[in-house]
Amino acid sequence: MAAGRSKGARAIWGSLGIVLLLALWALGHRLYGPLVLPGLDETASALLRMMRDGTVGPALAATAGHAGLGWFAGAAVGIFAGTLAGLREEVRLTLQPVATILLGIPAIAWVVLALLWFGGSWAVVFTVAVATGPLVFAAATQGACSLDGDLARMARAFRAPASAMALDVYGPHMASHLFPALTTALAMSWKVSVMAELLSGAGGIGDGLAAARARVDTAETMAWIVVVVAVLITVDHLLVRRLQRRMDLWREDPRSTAS
Amino acid sequence: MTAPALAFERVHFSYGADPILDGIDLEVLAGHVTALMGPSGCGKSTLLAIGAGLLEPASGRVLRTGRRTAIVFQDPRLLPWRTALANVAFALKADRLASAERRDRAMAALASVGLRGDDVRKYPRQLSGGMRQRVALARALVIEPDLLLLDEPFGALDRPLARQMQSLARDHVDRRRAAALVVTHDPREAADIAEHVAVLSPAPARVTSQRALPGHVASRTEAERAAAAGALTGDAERSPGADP
Repeated sequence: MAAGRSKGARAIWGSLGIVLLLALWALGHRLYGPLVLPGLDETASALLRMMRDGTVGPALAATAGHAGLGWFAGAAVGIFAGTLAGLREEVRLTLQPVATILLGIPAIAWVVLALLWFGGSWAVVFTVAVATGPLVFAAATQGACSLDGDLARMARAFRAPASAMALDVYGPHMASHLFPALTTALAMSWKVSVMAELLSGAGGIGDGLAAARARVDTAETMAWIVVVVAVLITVDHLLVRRLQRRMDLWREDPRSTAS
Repeated sequence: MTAPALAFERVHFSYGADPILDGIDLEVLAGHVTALMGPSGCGKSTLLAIGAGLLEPASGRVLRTGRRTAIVFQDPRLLPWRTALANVAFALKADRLASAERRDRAMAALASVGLRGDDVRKYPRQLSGGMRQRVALARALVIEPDLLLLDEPFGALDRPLARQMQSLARDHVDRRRAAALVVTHDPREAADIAEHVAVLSPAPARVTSQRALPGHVASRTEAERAAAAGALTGDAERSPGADP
């Protein structure tokens, strides 16, 4: 079972997957040529060139800004409205269909509308917020609906102050529901941001992709893709997985519960 | 005369249209343990929750003279996202102590219930049922309560451990001249720990009998305990509507 593998074995199997993907990439390049799929070496040198001439840093910062602002706005509205909906049935019945409709609208449609309404960077931020907010809303609703009354009564019996109720009782419970939604929304915010930038010309990685496409420079296109994937993997390993491991310590898992 | 730390006077309580308590009169004396017996679902836990101030009676009065009340629930109700140590320290948050002092006192309370070393850093899901219940008892004792409310707290423990936990609760009552109200189904447990025993009828509950057991529990002989348990079994069986 995967859970029983040692850290070293997991790293070896994981590396094997990446090597296989790179091998397929190289094979595709040999079969179809550099215009369809550039070689690994061409992509690496394009990436190095872009880093040296200062293209990657500002684009990365712009995309991070768009994605981060949009994610934060979507999360803030989603948590506030979702918590309210979880605590009050009338709010839940009112907002749930709205969230369902918003979730059903494709992100690309939001980009078009946002370009007409705002234009530029705010169009990207809005698109990210409106695409991620409903996800967080659903998780916050679920979290607030399932707040444990028994634990709250226990805390009241020990005269826990409001700060302890928030930090020790309600906060961790909500966090356990919100965490998966917030991490999914974070990954989504990068992808939506790149897509919106590509169409809006608001700067960022998407803008770089649009420029590479205009020049039919597939090596540069692949280099931008490598940048996006590298950022997502870095955030996943440095932040998401660490937080996940902390949560897994206390989450119920029948395989590790004492008898 | 010993003053009551907790007194219920003609307490009535209902869940919606279902009457649960029907005029409960009961005194829990300081320095004494009072056992509360009665059939399942008769309202013993509800009475304890009213005693803890978690529920308000529909009518009647609840008098508490103690400053600090602690409760051990039937289910340990530990915070799943906090370690055993943090769960016990949580009870001290109302006192606004420095975190180091909270930690030290929680550590001592856990040691008193037999949890040491790595166990104090474990999360509730990593502890056995008996260990969780011991953490819940440590959480109650750490605040040095004047009134201790115990809702079948030793049911998940094996007999020797249950005896050890009973004696910890008992020591606390003697040392601080605290009062304790203990819900139990077991006449033998009542005879081992309590000076007074009240038996409730099925819901809507009334107190059908109150009995003072002979002497202090520490000086009670094995024969006296057995005799008291036998008498309590008789009281429970004579309670109107008692389980056959």
